[in-house]
Amino acid sequence: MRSKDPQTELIERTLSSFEERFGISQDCFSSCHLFTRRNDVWCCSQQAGQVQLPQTVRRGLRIARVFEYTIRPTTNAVQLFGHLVKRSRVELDERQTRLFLAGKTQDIHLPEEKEGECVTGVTDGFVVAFHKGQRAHGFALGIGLLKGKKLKSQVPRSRRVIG
Amino acid sequence: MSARRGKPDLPPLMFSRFEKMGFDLDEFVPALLRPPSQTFRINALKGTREQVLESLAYLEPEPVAWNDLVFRVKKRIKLGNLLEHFLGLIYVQDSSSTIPVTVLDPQPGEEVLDLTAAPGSKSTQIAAAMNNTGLLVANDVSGKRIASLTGNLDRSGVINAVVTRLAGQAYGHIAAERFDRVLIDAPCSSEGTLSRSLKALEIWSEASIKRLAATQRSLILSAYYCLKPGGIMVYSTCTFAPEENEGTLTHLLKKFPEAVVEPVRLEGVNARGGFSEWLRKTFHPAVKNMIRLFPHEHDGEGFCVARIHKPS
Repeated sequence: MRSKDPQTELIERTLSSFEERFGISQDCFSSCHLFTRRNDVWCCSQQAGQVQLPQTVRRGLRIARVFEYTIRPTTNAVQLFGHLVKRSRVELDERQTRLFLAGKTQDIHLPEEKEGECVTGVTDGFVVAFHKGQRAHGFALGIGLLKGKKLKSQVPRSRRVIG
Repeated sequence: MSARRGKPDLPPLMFSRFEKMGFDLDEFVPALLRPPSQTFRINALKGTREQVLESLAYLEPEPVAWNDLVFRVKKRIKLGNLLEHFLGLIYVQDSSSTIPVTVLDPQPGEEVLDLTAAPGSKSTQIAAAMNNTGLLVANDVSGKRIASLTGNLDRSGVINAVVTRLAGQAYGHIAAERFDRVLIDAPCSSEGTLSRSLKALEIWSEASIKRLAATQRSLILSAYYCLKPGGIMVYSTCTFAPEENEGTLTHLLKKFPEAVVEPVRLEGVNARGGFSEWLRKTFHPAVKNMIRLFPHEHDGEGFCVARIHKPS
């Protein structure tokens, strides 16, 4: 039996981590073309994946960055696929959202845990932050890194909103 | 000097050209320098029209007649600082600038080329109209401008785009008869955008108009080569100069007499047709089918738009 090529393996590992950590079904990407580029995983339409043109700068959207020990979904990906996230969700009010968009680390209070288990399924690691407010309620803001009660925003510098 | 702060001195030659175009300068010039209403376009890739309108109800947005995803806002706020902008739910775009893609009318599953795509307002509008399916090739020649293009594609959640960095003139050779639709929002002398920035005045001259017109003539031929038989191309500029609009179209029609400049009819758009002549030069009669948007007649920047059909 032939072993899988490293690219396919990386894509499968990424989709598995999306499903396990965030509850995003792998079927959601069935109509997309997935590929790797410099160890990151990208997603584009089937036709965009097939076309060959000179001086191609990029195609589609980067959905995950793959590090040695972890896989981190991108802010752009969770903003697009946020409605599919079922687990590892945190909700931020207006003040918390401002801090998050500015790229800050902040203390957050998660809903109380039952004995031995977290009712929201939120454990340390990457989480998707959602906005809780009058405007844009329920939209995914981006990825955060949760450690204990601290949430570290992973919004890239180029997209941060200060003030 | 900013048009918002004071009345700038327009070059006398520009005044005289506007006068020759038949404008009442007392009416036309103040409108040209007055910022139009702010406009945003809902990005349907990220949220529904209802969701976004509910979120922005406090701004009392008013829909334009020709596109149900484009809204004017009377209040003077920085739309680019809104949470909805960060989330990619809206794209801040002048109302006139939304017209070329509305006229192009791209459909899901098609193959579309945006020949001069940066900074991406029209590419993101095309991708949304295609519902992120098919293929959108977003090309620009400038590496610096491509950075803003990719940033806007990312924020808008576009996955059907391939970004290339090529001189637009090369596309006719490498992708002949490949695309269902082609948009060419040509580099131009930008006379229609003076309310936003007076930067265009720094390089404005009759010589630069001639130079830009030459570039546009080569780009429009390249774009036409890229069209499949039966395909649709939209040519647009944000300038009034006839050399860059009717002149460019006449050049295309001389080279490809079978090309059809189709009438553009959009509900609620107060537009004029193309000029038949300019400085004793007569244009192809079909250019009357293009539309010209003037800021004293349409609440938006100055624009010219033509829809061209390549017969099967």
